[in-house]
Amino acid sequence: MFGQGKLEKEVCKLFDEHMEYIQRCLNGLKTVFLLYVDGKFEEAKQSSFEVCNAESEADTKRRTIIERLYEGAFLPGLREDLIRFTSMADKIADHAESCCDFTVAQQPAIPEQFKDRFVRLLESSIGTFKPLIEGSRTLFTDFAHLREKTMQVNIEESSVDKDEWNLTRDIFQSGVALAEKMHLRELVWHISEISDVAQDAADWLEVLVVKKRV
Amino acid sequence: MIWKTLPGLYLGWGLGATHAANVFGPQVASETISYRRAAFLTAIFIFIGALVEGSKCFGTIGSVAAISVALPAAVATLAAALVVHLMLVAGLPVSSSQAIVGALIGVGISQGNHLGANTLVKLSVSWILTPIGAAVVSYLLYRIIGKLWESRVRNVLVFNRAVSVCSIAIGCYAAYSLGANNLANTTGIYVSVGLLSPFLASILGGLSMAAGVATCSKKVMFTVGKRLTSLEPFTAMIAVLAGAITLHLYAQLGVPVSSSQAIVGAVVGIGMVKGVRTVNRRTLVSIIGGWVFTVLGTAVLGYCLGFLIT
Repeated sequence: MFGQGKLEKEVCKLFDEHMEYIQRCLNGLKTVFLLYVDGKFEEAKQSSFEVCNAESEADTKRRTIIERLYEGAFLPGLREDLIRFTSMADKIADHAESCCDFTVAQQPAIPEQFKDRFVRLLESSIGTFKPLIEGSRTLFTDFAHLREKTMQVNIEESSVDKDEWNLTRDIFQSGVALAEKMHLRELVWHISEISDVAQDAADWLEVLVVKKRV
Repeated sequence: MIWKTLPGLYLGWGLGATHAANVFGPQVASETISYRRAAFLTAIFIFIGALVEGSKCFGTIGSVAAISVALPAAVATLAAALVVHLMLVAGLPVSSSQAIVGALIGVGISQGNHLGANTLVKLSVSWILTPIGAAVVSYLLYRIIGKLWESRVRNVLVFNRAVSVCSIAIGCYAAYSLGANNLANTTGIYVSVGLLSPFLASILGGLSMAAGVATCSKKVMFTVGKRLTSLEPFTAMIAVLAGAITLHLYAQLGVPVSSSQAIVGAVVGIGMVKGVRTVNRRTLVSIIGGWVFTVLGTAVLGYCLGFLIT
């Protein structure tokens, strides 16, 4: 019924590319973390550069999206909403990078009994991004499927929260030194922050769509 | 002859300057369209509306107080224009339709004319029914178009284009309706006293309203527009469309009504669909106050000015 403008199509493409770079950041973080828990510190450090690069690329895409929007793509009200979502999604890449930096630079000592749980926590925290990326695509295809995707983000985030709480409790009940406990707690926070930010972005996505409905 | 039409042109200018906000206010305030483009479209369509259908309300204005001489007609129009201008400066809501009718009543009484009781009853009923009718129209539009909108507008790309296209089309139609309904307020009385032909009255009235839009509508457009942009884009579009349809329907009945009151009624109607209260008590009081004080104020001023020329 209504056609699409050239600038709008370009923003749509940039939007996809931005999300792709965030995904790359998260995949890179997982690689770094797996290498780290395997004790391959040097390889982990090398891989962390890829995370940094992907984060920089995501930032560049975000800035290009903002430029295109202010060149006239989309109506002003919609423009602000899209910028806000892009910025929120971009924070996921920022958190992935800072988690990566924390791991590689501070090298927290993860006791053997907690290694698997840390990996699982990271996987489920990163996992919240999958429904978010699918949900964000519905913005440009069909709003109807958005709700189920944002619900999925919320469910997965709750599961991460639960794991985070249990892991923190178990760390503090273990026999490791207090300084190490504090250090591990910080690592837990860095990992779970990714899912928290993903949930915030999903919530905003839902608000954005509700505002467009009758 | 020309100087006697000046108050009508002054009233037309004021009407265009203030009422353009009810047509393109939300679109301009939300930057869907630039002010310059909105003013240009409003001026064009208000003029077309005045030219094509504006003469339909001439008869009603002419039969309010049986004024048949040019000077009292000019005085009544001047009284209406002054009150409109004063109320605008004071920031009070004003209806040009109610202003001209009040002024004609005042001047008519001062001249010892018989008032058209039937016309006054018709006008009073119409003014009460304007917001109610607009509420009904917006209620129906919201339900019907809302369903179509939900089924067709399924992503931001379509939403963006639909809002851009529809809000401009609706704004143009609203400007057309405003010209068609409110033209008689500006030059209608000059037709009934034989000072202007209906065609010339339409041209002059239409041009004066267009001039008001083009020169002085910016501030009011942003002020009123921002009030309406607190509504979602679809709701604001329906409110403007319902107001425009109401004005157009009243133009077919030959009754000039208030576009501001129609919009308020339309917003109430949408609130009824959503089950929320969209208009507060203060707004309702200001509408009723507008009815009473505009008619009373212009009637008193019209009577005084009419008494002076007698």
